[in-house]
Amino acid sequence: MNDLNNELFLRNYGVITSGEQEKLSNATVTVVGAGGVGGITLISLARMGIGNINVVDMDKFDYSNINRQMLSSISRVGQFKASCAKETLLDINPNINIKVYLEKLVESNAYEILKGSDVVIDATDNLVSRVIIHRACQKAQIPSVWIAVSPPFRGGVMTFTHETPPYELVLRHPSYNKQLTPEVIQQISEIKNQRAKNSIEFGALEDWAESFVRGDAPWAVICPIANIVGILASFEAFKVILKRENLKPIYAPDLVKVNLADLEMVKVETPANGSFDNGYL
Amino acid sequence: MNANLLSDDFYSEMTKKNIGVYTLEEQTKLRNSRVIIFGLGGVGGMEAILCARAGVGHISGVDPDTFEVSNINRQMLAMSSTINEYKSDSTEKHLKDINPYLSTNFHNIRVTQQNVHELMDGHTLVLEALDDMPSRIIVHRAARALGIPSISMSGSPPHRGFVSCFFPDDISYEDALNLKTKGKDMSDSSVVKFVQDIKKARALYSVTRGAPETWANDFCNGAAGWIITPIRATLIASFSCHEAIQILIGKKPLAPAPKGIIIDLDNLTSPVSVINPSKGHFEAYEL
Repeated sequence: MNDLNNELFLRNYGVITSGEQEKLSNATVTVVGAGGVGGITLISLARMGIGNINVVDMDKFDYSNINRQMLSSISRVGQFKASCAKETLLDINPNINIKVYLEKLVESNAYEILKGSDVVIDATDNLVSRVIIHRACQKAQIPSVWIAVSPPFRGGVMTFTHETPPYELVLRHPSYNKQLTPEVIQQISEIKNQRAKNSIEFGALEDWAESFVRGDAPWAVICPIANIVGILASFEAFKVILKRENLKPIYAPDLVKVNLADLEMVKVETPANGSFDNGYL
Repeated sequence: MNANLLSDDFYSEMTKKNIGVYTLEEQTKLRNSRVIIFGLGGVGGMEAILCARAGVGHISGVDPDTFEVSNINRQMLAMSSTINEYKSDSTEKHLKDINPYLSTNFHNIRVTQQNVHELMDGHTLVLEALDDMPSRIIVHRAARALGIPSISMSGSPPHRGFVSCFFPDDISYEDALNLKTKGKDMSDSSVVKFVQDIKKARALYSVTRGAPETWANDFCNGAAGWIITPIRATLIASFSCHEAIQILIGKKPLAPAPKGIIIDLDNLTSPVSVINPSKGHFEAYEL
């Protein structure tokens, strides 16, 4: 490693050995989505010393992103999120190799984009894209990290591999083993409305949930929860890459459950019958 | 930015996605709040960013330091392009790019017993994100004297952190951490040394929690810095910010002292939880 890297990561030593720092430097991580969770995940990966980072996002920053998205700012409104990610990451560490994909991840380009990654982080807000990401990763035997952020103060993180049960079974999706036809896509999208309605019992505002289901209000997300989930997602990537015997990733169906209204703010939960109702996460 | 987007319009657009979690009334409380952050490093810099994004209307910051390359592994505003800049200047500039209507007051000075009251007076909430114990005591004493709630934090290797909220009429910082400094003058060098030595005890205790012994010995001899990784600092800031928002909107935080939010990412079953210490206080060296 060169001198700049040594100085950059000086304060990591003691938690991370120099051999491990080298592993991080040689690793490739792909983050799909550079928004509320993806933005902080990308920054965290860069600061811990990941050497190769791919960013997939076709969206541009908007004013309503500013309440939580670490890469967003007034001066970046209207700019591509993934291009801004590249700019910030290179300012953190000019030695990172960054690939930017200003496109939507779909079935036809998924393998091409994700191949070669040591781990993929799914930080999209689209439930159909998520199915595509985790299907493609499992097929290509690439570990993939799933996240969720739900009102008012809830979130989740878990890691899938080709050896864990698949995403759609763990989250009881109606789409398992089905082609993504318009009808199946509609069924998947409906889960987010269920989540909105169910979030009322966890303390989200009822008016908001009704507006969301009608299509009149955006998904409510606040900055502490988006950033906590993003940091925990980057920590999963860290564990997948370092492969320490005593610091394993949280593999599905076990789930890192976040609820800032609960005294156990972050805990690992094993589902009783091997799966979770995604409408309740 | 769009010149047509005036203060009220910008604010409601920026905080649109908070509504549903917070009510409009609660959001207005955040807008009318005045927060001061002591220390703008790994934790404090992130706290400043999160408070600005959440929609807090006024943010003050205090830090005498400039950015160094070794800050980059964890400090959100440490960049190749900000090396050698005052942390207070870079932070203030960044916050204005988050919310151009934000009211700010940043100082590139060290907090002392002499200036702390003047710096803190007029704020609604204090966020303490300092790396030295004597200054932490000075800040929490002043907050108590001025009747302002304060949030404390600490972080230790490998991935451990602590956050707790203090209220003027409740248990004090020094009692909650079992510090034997109550009533003592923080300008007395023997008191300062006593408090500084607690950090050495924390380094040695960290060894029992997975930190390397060689590092702890080097730290005690002044040959190594405190180990700080990006994950820990950012998590501590995020939990602190959540507690701050709860206090500012008039709700009870989850960890009013002597309770504390205990973070330990090496714990693979319950990485973050609120602990009510059985003795009625924590031990500073164990945090």
